[in-house]
Amino acid sequence: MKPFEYKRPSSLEEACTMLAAQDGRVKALAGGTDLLVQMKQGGLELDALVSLRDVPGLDALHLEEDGSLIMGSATPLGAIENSPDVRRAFPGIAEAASFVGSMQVRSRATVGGNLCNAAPSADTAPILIACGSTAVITDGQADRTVLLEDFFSGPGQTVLGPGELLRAIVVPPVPETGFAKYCKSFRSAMDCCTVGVAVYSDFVPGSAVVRDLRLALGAVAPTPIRARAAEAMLVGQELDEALTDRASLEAVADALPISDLRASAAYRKVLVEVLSRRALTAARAWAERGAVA
Amino acid sequence: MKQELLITVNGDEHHLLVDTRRTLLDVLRDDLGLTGTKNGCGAGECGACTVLLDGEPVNSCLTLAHEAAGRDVLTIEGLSSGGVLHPVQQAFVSQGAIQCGFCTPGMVMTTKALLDRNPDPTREEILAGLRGNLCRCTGYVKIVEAVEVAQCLLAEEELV
Ligand SMILES: Cc1cc2nc3c(=O)[nH]c(=O)nc-3n(C[C@H](O)[C@H](O)[C@H](O)COP(=O)(O)OP(=O)(O)OC[C@H]3O[C@@H](n4cnc5c(N)ncnc54)[C@H](O)[C@@H]3O)c2cc1C
Ligand code: FES
Ligand code: FES
Repeated sequence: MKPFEYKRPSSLEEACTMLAAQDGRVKALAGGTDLLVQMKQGGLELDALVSLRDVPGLDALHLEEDGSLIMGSATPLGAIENSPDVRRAFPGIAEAASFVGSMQVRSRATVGGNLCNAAPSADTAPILIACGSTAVITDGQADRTVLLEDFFSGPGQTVLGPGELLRAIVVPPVPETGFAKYCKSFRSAMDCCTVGVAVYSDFVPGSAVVRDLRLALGAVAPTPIRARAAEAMLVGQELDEALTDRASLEAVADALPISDLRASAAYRKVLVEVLSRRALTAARAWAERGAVA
Repeated sequence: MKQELLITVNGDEHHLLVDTRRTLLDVLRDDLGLTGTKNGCGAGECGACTVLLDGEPVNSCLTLAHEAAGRDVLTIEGLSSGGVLHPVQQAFVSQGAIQCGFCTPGMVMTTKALLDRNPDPTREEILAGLRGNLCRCTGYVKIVEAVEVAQCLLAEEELV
């Protein structure tokens, strides 16, 4: 590693000022589980790291009165996975967090780091997009918000400008008639997803009729994406086995996978169909059990 | 670029001058001579470098030393007290869950963290808890049994 400056600001304003100062050669340091690997093995060279450790409020994790979930960007995935509030109100998010790496990795790895690293395969992205989450971005002075699905602009790239930080993720409340789940395919338990598919579905009470639905795909395009064609096919319809099959096949239409060391493009397309079917089948089973689990 | 670092390891405070690039693992092994913590992969994959940071298990190879400033670090050397092995250590010894021993400090620290959090894990939960720890020798069966024995030893301790 080349020498770098290590800074540990104690306010958001200070952190953003430091990030704005050294064009491109400075990065925020959250858990470091992506950055340290990139610096040790990937040849990433920086002039400075700005540690978020002592910036107050960035690890806040709480439910608002209206039922929405606020996750400070520097909340460790382990804290999300183990939070009684998240497990009760957003079990699909707790489960997706638990799929990342190992217990040791999740003690340090943060949700903001997972999203800002912007790997197409980031495991928290599909479920948070499917749940309709918003990214709260700050320049240290004022906040702006973007839908999380619009946060990514390419592999390793986000809409964050110089001197901007992801401050928090806000997940809207899931109604009693709503269900969310992330299905991940991986080669080993310690690996990012080969393909990941998340579903959020809201049903007409007492039925399997889809009122609102989002299907998000990871690792099949330059950024996490929504499978809009499949979504359009599902909204307003009764989710039965035949429709599940058709929509799962349709989800492949939105996928533009590449071949890499984890899988070929053709295999990824098959995985999109399989995992979409798995996610939609789980949603259907949940609705048929009389929802409100 | 060296910066001052105040860090508590196994209850002892250390005031050091540490290059910003060094990891917690580097400082433990090279500056403090605590070589029980092992350097396997240096990339978060093997768990040999696991220590507890304010009670949380972390890969010390991916944690910059300065990120641990002012925090409490527990390493394998700090686990036994007065020459008496910690129940997790006892369990690994009695079950023969150690062959070459390279992975053992990490396995033991991870097990401690797992049982601190969940004193009564199922076998599945044990496997999930240990998924960041690799062993090239044992085939894991005895390690999982050792965790189960440690679970019993700790539960008995609770009763006393
Ligand atoms: C062994 C191992 C296994 C892994 N397994 C998985 C896996 O199964 N699934 C998976 O998705 N990932 C996995 N990862 C990758 C990594 O752990 C996650 O992406 C993690 O969530 C990154 O978070 P971090 O806090 O460590 O990020 P850091 O490394 O600290 O930061 C990552 C990037 O985000 C930027 N950043 C961080 N926070 C902010 C912020 N608030 N605002 C702006 N920019 C910010 C940093 O500047 C950097 O560019 C694994 C990593 C390892 C080492
Ligand atoms: S040396 Fe840290 S995980 Fe392998
Ligand atoms: S005992 Fe040799 S690596 Fe585990």
